[in-house]
Amino acid sequence: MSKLDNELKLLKEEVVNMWTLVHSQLVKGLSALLNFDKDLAREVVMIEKRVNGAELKIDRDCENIFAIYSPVAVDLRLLLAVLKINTNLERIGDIADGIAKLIIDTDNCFKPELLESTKIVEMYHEAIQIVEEILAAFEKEDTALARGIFKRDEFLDEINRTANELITNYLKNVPQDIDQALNILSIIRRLERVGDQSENIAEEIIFYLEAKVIKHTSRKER
Amino acid sequence: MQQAGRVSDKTAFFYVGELVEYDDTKEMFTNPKDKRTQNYITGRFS
Repeated sequence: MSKLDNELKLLKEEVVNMWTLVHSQLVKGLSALLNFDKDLAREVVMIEKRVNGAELKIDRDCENIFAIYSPVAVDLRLLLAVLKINTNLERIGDIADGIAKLIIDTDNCFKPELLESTKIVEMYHEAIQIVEEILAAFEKEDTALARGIFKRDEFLDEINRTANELITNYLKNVPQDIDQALNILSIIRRLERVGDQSENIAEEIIFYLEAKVIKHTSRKER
Repeated sequence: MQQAGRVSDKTAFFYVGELVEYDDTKEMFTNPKDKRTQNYITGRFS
């Protein structure tokens, strides 16, 4: 294995480690939401610091590899993709951090009927699975798996689209829950962005492996 | 290799007398079509 191959292998491992941290933030965030566990939510906020550190380290390593090896072709595409995946992953970490802070700031346990009527738990599970699948696509270098994300993200978009109506209907019956309902709406908006960031990552994986730029193209062209 | 990339508009890659690939230099250095070209320009063999 050449020195560059070794550097790229280590870089990929760093990205996977960061991915695992971000995934754990989402999983713990869901558990904190369901069990109204503020300690777990605080743990998510703590993990965010490690995610930020990982982002800086990956950026620096990419810069060093560019400077020392002047990579071309597939190696160049991998580095360009990693730089963008790094940013997107950090944003997913920020989103998980934001959700955790909302849970910490909420006074009372979320009402089960509110969670059920807004489908937020299903949405949360789907967001976590999307992050798991896109990680698998990166590790296995599987563009078919990466393309599957575009379809899965539609589910998150759909829940996000109907969220206003569902929350409004809920508040007509239980207007005193307005604080909780607004927090749930805010979490739904954030989870929808997890889907968008994952789509961006999928686009980068496809660029790295197939040298195709599918950004700003229609679903059919992908 | 980098010098070739900087000074040319078109690049050809020959391997043991065979023309493996010929393309715009930018294309060749970012998305070579043949695995042998890719392995050569990425330094996996010389």
